This record gives sequence, structure tokens and C-alpha cells, in this order.
Amino acid sequence: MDKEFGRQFQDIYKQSADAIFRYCLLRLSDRELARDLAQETFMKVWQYAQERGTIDNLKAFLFTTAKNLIIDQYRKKKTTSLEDMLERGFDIGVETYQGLIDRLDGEQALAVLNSIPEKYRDAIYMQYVEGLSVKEIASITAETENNISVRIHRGLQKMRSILGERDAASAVPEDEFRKQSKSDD
Amino acid sequence: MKTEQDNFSKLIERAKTAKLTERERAAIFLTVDAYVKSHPLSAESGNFREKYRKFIAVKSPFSIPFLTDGIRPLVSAWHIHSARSLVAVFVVAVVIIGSGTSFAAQGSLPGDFLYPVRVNFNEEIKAVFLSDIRRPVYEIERLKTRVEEAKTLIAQDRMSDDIRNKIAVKVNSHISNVKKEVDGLTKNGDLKTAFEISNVLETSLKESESAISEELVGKEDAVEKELSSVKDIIRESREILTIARENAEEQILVQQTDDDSIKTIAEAKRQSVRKELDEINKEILTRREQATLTQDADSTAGFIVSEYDGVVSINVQEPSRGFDTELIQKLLAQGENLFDLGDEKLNASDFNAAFSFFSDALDVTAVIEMEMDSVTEDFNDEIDKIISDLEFGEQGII
Repeated sequence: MDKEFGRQFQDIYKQSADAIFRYCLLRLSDRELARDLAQETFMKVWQYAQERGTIDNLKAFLFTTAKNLIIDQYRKKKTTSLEDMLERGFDIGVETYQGLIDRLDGEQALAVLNSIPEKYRDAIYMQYVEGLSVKEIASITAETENNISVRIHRGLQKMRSILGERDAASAVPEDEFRKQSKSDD
Repeated sequence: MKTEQDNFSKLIERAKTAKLTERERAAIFLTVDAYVKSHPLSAESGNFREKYRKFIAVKSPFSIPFLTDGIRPLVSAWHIHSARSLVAVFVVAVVIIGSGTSFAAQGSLPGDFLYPVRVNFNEEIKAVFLSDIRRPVYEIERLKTRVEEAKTLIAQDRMSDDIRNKIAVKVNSHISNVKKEVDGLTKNGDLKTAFEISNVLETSLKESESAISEELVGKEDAVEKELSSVKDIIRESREILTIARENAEEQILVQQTDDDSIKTIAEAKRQSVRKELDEINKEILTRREQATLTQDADSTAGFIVSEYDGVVSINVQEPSRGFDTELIQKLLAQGENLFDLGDEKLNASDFNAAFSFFSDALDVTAVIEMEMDSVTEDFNDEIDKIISDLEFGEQGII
């Protein structure tokens, strides 16, 4: 039985380390910070397990813990991914998204995803990048499953229209996306 | 529509590539590991195991991968497998030195209370941080450590069936780990590295075998028997590496992967042949010298018989009866000729042909060794017969 416990925890660590780091990176756009928070996430989870002894869905719990740590971090320092990228000289310009996406590395792709308005971003990211279920996302974001389903659906529509319209040589600036999002509220 | 789908899917796929580097993963792991160790799950309140069982999705990292002799290692398989590909020697030092129990275990031997801690914790945690190439080398070092432990126990007259079995199991585990690494390299197509590692380690074990052979000389029967069984263990392990090495060789030759790999195996074969031929030459000289030394003594068939106070004793220092010199010399000449032909081909960069000639030369040396060994056996049989006659009747002295 103990051997199995060790194996399970080992599996969870192996499976989740990258995912938690990636989520922190998505939200913070700062690699070093993302690493620190990912580390702290695992320690916090262990601390919780030590005190309470029961965790029903570990993956969701890891994301929830990471999310809370990110919120704490946000209170200290707010980051806007695309703005940071532009400051660092990443010029989106008028090229199509086709060309843009082909040139992105992982971190930059996350930065683009981070430009999605918050209420859609987490749901789309968690489902499409991390493969979490609607139920799990609902638990992490403290929303109902219906809300999450709707947000994924709407967020996806907007993403696709933006990406598609860019390639049709009709640029939709980021703030336009945000305007469209606000109109849905 | 298709473009939108593609772009979005592409974006998602790109995003997924954002990952921790191995170094980052190592750093996080080690910090979390240190934290977990300093905050173990408490065993005080209630049933310790029961508390573990409540921990549904996340189990304690202090689980026990090797429950041996009732000693719980201070780290679990989680630590080992998660960080398996990492290199962090300084952390290994911190982990090992920082733990009083593990430090105290360092000098322990099989049968000692702390021995499982040494083998299952100290050595294992060191292995975790080694690279794919360094790990099989380390496993062979561990195997040789087991051999040294066995020899120490034999010298201290502490060897038992139980301990012998445990050592054999451990040695088997080490060689299995090596084989696994080498097979992994072969499977991944890194045939040259697989060959080099198995070749080097095979040679290393051969040297250990030879060292024990030399130690066997002049030992009491009981000790000789124990040491011989240790030698057998090494030989079996070496044979596993021989198979791995030959497998890699074969694949290199069959696949004709690249000139560099074929050159490597040809050069390695050359070294083996040269070594064998030199050893045979040395053995022939030794036997001739022994035959010369014993010629003047009151000797029969190359050993010294002396009598003192009515007691006859027979001293055998080296088997010194002559063998079929002509045959051996012919075979040796053939071996040297094949070696020279192999050298020619090697210099001409015809590595396949060179390998082939060297392999044939090695086959010839094997025949020579068999011939010389059979001579030794015959000679030993003759000595045994003489001793037996002396003990039981014909000369009626002892």
C-alpha cells in the first residue's frame, strides 16, 4: 500500500509540474516568478495535506492553489502580457495571425492567450491547453459548470473570429476584442 | 473557417510547449523535497497508516519502495523517479551528509542494521542525479562494492547463506539496471554509446574476475569456495554485458549506421584481441619458466615432492607440465596474422573488414585458451591422483 502511495504522488508530480508552471506563466508572463509560484503551489498542497489529510481532486486543487497564489502576486504587481511583449520589441504589426503564430514559442503563445479577457481566458486555457474538464474548471474558478460551458463557447467564438478575421486581412485590434467581450456582459 | 480552426489549434499547441527546463524542474523538486522532509506526516496521532489511507489523491512521499529488513528509507520512489534525469551533485552531498542516519550507514556491511539504509537510500539517491551515461557506470561501481563487501565478510568469516543470497540479489539488481540503461540506448538508436558503455563495463568486470582469481591462490578450501562463488557472480554479470555489447555490435554492423560507430567497434575489438594475444604469450612464458625451475628438483611432472620427518609433501606452485607446444604456436601465429590483417584494414579505413579479421583473431585466442586450460585440467587431475595414492595406499606415507 505504501509503495502505491509513493507511486501515485510521483505520477501526480510528473504529470502536473509543467501544467502548474505553465498556468503561472500564462498569468504572470514572468518565468522566474512562475517557477517560484509553481514551487510554492506544491509546497502549499503538501502543507494542506499534512494538516487536513484529504484532497479529493488533486489536479483541480493544484490549480486552485496556484490561482490563489497568482491573485496574491497580482496584488503586488499587475502584468499585461501583450503590452510587456510589445515593450520588449515584439511587434505584431499588420502581419496575419498565421505568420504570427508560426513564429511564437511557448511563452509567447501563452502571452497571446493571456490577452483574452479574464472571464474567458482561464476557462479556454484550462480546457484546451491543460485538458481539464468543465467540472474541474468550475471547481477551480468557483463558478457553476453552466457558466464555464458558456464562457468556453463564447470565448472560443471570439478567438476564432479574431484569428480568422486577421487572416482575411481585416485586422481586429486587441482592444476591439475586449470591446466585443464587454458587450456580452 | 478552416483557417480559424488551424490558427487557434496552432496557438494552443504552441502554448503547450511552454515547459520547465530540466534544471528548473530539478530546482523545484529539490526545494519541495526538502520542505516535505522537514514536514513529515505525523505518526503520533492515531493510526499512522490510517492517516495515509485518508490521503486519497495525494499519498505521502514517504512511501516505501524497498521495505528491507524493516528499515524505512528516508526517501521514496517519488524522489527517485521524478528526479531521475537530473544532475545536481551538490544537492546529493547535502542530502546525504545532512542525514545523520544515512551518514552513519556508510560503513555498514550486509547483515548490519543500517546496511539497507546505505544501499536503498544513500546509493539510490546518488543514482537519481546521474545522467543516462553515468548511471550504468555507477551501477557497476555499486556491483563491485557488493563484491568487496562479500570479500570482507568472507575474510571476517561472517558469510552466511542468507547474506550470500541477499548479495546475489543486489548484484543481479545492479546488472539489471545497467542492462536496462544499455537496452534503452540501443532502442533509441544510440548504438555507439550502448556499445561503448557495455564494452567498458564488461572489461571492468573482467578485471574484477581476474583479481579474484589471483586472490584464490593459496586460500583454504572454505575461503576458496566462497571466493569462487563471488567470482561466479561477477562472471554471470559480465556475461550479461557481453550479450549487450554483442547485440550493439551486431546492430551496428547490420544497420551500417555510420562509419564512426563501425570504427569504434573495430578499434574495441582490436584492443580485446591484442590483450588476449599478449596474455597468452605471457602465460606460455610463465609456464616455460616454471618448467625450467622445477627441472632440477626431485620433481615429478613439474611439481616438487619433498620428504621431512617421514611426511611427504607436494608443493605445486604453477602447473608446469609442457603442453602441445607446436599446436599452440601454430594457433598463436594464426592469431597474430589475423590481427595484422585487421590492422591493415583499419589503417585503410575498411572498418567492416577490420572488425571481421579481429573477430576471427579473437576466435583463435579462444581456441588457444581452451587448449591451454585442458592441459591445466589434465595436469591437475594427475596431481590429484598422485596425492590420492599417497594418502590411501600406494606409497602409504600420509
